[in-house]
Amino acid sequence: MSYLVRRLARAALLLIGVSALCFLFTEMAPGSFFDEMRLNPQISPGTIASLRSHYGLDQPLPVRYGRWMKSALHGDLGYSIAYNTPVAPLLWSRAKNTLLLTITALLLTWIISVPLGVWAANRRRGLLDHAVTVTTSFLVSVPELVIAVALLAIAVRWQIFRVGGMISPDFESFPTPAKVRDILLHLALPALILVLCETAVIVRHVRASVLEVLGAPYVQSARGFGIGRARLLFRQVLPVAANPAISLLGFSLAGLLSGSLMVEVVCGWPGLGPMILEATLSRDLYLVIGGIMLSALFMVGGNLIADLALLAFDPRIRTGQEGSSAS
Amino acid sequence: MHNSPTNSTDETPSLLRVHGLSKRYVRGALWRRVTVAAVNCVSFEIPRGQTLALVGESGSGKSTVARCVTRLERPDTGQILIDGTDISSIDSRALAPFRARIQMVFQDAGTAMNPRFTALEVIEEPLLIQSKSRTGNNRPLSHDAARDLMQEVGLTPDWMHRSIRHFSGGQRQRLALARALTLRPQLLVLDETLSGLDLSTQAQIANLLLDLQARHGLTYLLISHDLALVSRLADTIGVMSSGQLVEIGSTRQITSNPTHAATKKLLASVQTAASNLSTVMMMGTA
Amino acid sequence: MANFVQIRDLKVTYAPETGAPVRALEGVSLEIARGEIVGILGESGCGKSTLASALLRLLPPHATCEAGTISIDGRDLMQLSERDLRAIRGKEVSMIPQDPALSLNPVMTAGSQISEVLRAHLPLTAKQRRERVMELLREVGFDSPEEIYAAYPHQLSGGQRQRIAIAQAISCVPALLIADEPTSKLDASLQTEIVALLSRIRQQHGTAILVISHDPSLFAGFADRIAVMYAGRIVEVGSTAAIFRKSLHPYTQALVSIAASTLVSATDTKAPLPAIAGESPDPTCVPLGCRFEPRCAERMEACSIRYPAEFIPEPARLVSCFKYGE
Repeated sequence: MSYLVRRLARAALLLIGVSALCFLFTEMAPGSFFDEMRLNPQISPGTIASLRSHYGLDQPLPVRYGRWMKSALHGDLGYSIAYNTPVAPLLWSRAKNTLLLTITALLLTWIISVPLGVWAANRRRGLLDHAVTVTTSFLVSVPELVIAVALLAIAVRWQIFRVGGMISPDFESFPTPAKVRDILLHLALPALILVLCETAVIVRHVRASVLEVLGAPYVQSARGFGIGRARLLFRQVLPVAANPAISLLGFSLAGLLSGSLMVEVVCGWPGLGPMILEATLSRDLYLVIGGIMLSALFMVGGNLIADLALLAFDPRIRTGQEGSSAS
Repeated sequence: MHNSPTNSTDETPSLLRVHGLSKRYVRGALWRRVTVAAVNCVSFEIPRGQTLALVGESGSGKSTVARCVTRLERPDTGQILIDGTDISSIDSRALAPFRARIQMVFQDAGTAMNPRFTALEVIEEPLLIQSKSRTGNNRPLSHDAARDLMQEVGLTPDWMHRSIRHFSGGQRQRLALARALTLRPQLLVLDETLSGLDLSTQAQIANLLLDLQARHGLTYLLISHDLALVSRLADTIGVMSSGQLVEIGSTRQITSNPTHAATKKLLASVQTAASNLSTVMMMGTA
Repeated sequence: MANFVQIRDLKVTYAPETGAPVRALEGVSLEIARGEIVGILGESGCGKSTLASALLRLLPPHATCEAGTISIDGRDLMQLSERDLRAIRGKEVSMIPQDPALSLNPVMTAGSQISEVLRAHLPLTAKQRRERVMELLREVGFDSPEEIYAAYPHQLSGGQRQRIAIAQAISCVPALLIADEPTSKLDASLQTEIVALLSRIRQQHGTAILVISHDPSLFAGFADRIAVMYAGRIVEVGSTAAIFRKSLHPYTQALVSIAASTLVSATDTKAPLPAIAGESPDPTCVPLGCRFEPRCAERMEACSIRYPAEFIPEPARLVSCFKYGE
């Protein structure tokens, strides 16, 4: 239990550190939200100055940071200049969409990767193994952007999926089942891109990890005792091979909010990604910082879940390496 | 609690003298941190040209003593005197000249060497490291010097340029010894160097060690769990148990007149094996 | 009367991906009677571990069994399907693996690993299995079996892990137990314990044991017969007493004298040990003559020309050396 408390405390410190760095970096980045306005001759400098002080941008850094912290604790996370609303609800409205996409992709990726990786490792040098190796090598070496654009082009050409955005123009007029279907059809393309790219990576790791365990002396020893292939796989091999896979899952969870930015932009999915991109380009300060903090929160949470899962699954970590010692 | 060696020379100071050596480790993970005293107040000395063996079961702390003596680890308390100078807590720059005088050889030398090296590269590596730390220019071992070293340890000098992948376990152990001798050390710490070798290879390497000691006046600190083997090679034997040096004495004393329970336990298993052997060999005709 | 285990003329070659093929076993023949303890004395590279794996038909994929038969209780293992072999492994023939540090699954408790072997062969309920495991743990010498059942391998010492492996191997009361270097990776002081345990097992269950070691002293007072292996062949066979008191092959004599040198009293500390000159043979290049010839102090002309045939000076005795015959 004290382990959990210590991890949470460390996580909180990490988040505070990230926020401080955010402020520092955005301070150092050139430009501000009002630069474009300054170019506009119709707006007087006085107006700009008063707008700046209205948003508190003329205050020194520590003061701004302090006010932001207060706002964060209130649940607002500051104010968006472009949208003229508190940051938090803005973020959440978009984050929901991103999570829909990434969680779907995550589930599909892992449901496909794990059995595929295990099977390929089990039948090493078989036809399936070779097919898996070749395909994943290809997918891993092609940049994600290229895959995304290629699939987008195919989808548009052959009208397979509904492309662009999350909903059709006449969404509101649909009955509920049709609404669900509409979203799913729009979800299909970006999810497919994500699944293809991530599966390639995960399958390779799972395969490598299972192969390594299959060659271990204790597995050979178990074979020597006449334990059958299936039982061997599920009872002896997978629990050990799960260890690195759980760490990978932690990475996947950590990237739930941050990993899909490019795909969202390419497919027009109204998620967190495009919004943060836009905010960055237009220097909408607190929106950017809020987006980063939310991603950081997921990152920390994902890692924490992975560590706790490892703790639950691996007795060596749970009980500590007490047996062997320095002699 | 322990008997001191029967002849401790006061005219020539012992090459190695250890006083009150202690080292603790913190083990366990997460919330169950446990401090373990790996070595607890160990003292012994080795006169020049002699062999002291530390025996004990796994976990008794003998390897930790070896690592402290060679300063691979820093002891928590205690003194390690090499020819009168205490090296237990000096910094790395002051330690540099001593590094050449004390060399360590491990068990399973095969894994202690870079498998892509040739025999020559393995042997000259210590020289490269040492010269780098002093002058900064490469000073590789001359081929003649390498030939001599290889011949000394019983390897064919023609194999100088062969990759060590082709060397057998025993040959690699010889190479490890050659490497240890490159810097002309005075003290060799042999950490389970003879364990895990085939019987005939063990005998060969043991003979090589005796031979090198006679030729160069080397002093040995021998770490082992095998009391039988060690009683053939050591002048003095120290028995370690749970981090403490529970008994120390000449080989004859320890093997014929043990006093501590740990010693008796080690000796008991040796004696059982020996009596089995002598029974089967000297029984009357069947 | 056919013996319980009969190995005839076994030839095994390894074909690694890179490098020359290795002739691991070159025509090995051996017999083991029920309840007999047979020792294989040999050093690394002589093929003893290959022999052990071959007995279980568990050679690695790049090894080929070129010739020979292995029959256990009259059944030829070479003819059996993988399924039948799996029924035999662990039940009639069991192997105690060499390295206790590596042979147990790190994420399973000790007890459950023994239970797995039972589950593979015996129709017991979970409760019955648990009881049997407790029984086994007591048999191999654990005083508090409940603690050990729930312990993970990294919480146990080397000697304890070896005993768990032994418990796994004897769980289904096999007729043949193979112990490959059972004490080499353990402290020397544990040798007596493990040997005593194996003797007890033979006494109580009538299990035949094939013990493999490079150290002759392991066999003294334990094995009934010893077969000496060198470079993939058996060079001498005899009762333990015969091998120790009157070994015939120069290699055997050398090994026995090294082991016997530990009996010398401490007056002669730091005297050189008797040793065999030269290196172990290169398994990739096989000369025509006797493999031991380069290191043999008594070699003759004939030794490098052809391999000596097996000579049987008396019943249950065998030696391949030109000193004794053609």
